[in-house]
Amino acid sequence: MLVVVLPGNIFSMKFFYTVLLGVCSAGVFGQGIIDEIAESEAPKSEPVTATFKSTRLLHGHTVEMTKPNALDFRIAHRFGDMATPGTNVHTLFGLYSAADIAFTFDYGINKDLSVGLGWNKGTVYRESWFGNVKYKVLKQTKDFKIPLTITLLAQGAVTGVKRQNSLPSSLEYLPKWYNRFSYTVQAMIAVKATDWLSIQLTPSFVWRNFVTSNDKNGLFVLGLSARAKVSKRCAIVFEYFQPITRNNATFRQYFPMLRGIKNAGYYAPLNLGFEIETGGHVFQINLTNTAGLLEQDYLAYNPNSWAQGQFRLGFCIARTFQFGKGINPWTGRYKKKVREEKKAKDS
Amino acid sequence: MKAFLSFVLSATALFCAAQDVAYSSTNGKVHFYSKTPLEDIEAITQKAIFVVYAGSRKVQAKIPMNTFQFSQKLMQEHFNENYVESDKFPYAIFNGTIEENIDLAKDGEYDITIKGTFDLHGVKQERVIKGKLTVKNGEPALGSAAFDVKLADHKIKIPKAVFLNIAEVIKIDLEFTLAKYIPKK
Repeated sequence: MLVVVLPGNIFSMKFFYTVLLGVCSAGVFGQGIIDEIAESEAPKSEPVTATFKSTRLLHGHTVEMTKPNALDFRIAHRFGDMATPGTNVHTLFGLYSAADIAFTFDYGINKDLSVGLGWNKGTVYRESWFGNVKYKVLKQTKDFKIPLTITLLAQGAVTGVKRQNSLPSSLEYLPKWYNRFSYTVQAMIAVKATDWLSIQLTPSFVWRNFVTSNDKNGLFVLGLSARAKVSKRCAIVFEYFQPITRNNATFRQYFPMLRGIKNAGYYAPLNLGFEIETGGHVFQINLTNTAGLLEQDYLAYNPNSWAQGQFRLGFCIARTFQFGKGINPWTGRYKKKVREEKKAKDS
Repeated sequence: MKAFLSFVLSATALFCAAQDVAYSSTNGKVHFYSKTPLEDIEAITQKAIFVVYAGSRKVQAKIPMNTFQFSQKLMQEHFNENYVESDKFPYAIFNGTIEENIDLAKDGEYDITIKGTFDLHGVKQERVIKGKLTVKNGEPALGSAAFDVKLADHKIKIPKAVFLNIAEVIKIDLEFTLAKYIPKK
């Protein structure tokens, strides 16, 4: 206003600017302190959280770890074929049969290391009792200084199937005791590209101590998984595993469907799912051509083809029990006694 | 004359700014509690930042949301990812002024009323918060307050499936110790 009254006057301009400066410095300076502190207190580079929502996406493992001191118990189920010629209302389109059922227990030793135990029914490679160790070696940061998260998995299994003494061509012939063992090693390499899109590459190697005569013991597989959030709690998830090791026999060929090979023997697992997260649970409704739930089973032996209607519904229920000093594992919160002690200490 | 006036005014302004000494805390404690018949949820952070200006009686707070610690880490992840969205809104911010005309250089424990805006989850709300401020050795030293936050006020949605597990109104209590702010060079 002073400027309007005395335009062009050098003193008035100075006057105006000094007052302005005085007022501004008080205001700007005042706001500045807390932002300055916040900036200096903020951690320089933070690891990303929740690249995926769960330790497993559909069939395969993700880079996510079981939380420290938490026991993650899950029951996974895959129903029978939905659209093969034999399926009708009498099988309720596969819902009356169980392709595979798996029970797993995973325990987080610390935030980068977890161990798992479990057993599953299996489809081709049946009745496995398995254990695994999972270790997170690299964590992606929010500023992409470290652009990737890498987790390694080593898994061993022993099959409990009854020996088929009279069938040398069977996978269950198992002449020696050590024929029952099989192993998988995987490296999960993931990037949370944006807050709604995560992508993972999974180079895997599967070794089975006993295979049929037209097969090889070792098999390289490359997996590609992705998760796209469609809303805050819902996401579309996708998985594909391409076997790399070629075989001269009729089965395990590259892209049999595209090349028009019928009865290719084994097909690449291609899985789609819809993920809904509610509080402590992640519900997945999935549609897959994959029946097995153990790596040694579904990576090496997936006899189901989408083109032949051999896809199925599946689900997984998981429950986490949080252990720790003074924590009630059923509710995951501090025990009443501990809370009261804390409160007494505070006041 | 004008030069003199300008000098006086600017000097006053600068003097006021200089007198407005800031007292800050970088390890303020903020605790929240959600109580329902089904589940009690609570979390605490010790990394809240508070600034109190002795001259203008302004109070500011910045609470880094991803520093809240839960007993259940999965719950902590959900809190950050789904409820407060701490990647998008990293801080809860409060900007207010103490209503009472108290002298923050005079020792004593004062009951204070702070009026200001509370910004949580990107939604600003005008709030009047009751608290306590202790002045020791002529400097504000301790502060505490307790208030309630209605989640719906800040557009924090609770999905229907967990509606009964999370209270609609969250109880918050906080306390902090203040020290004179020394800018880092």
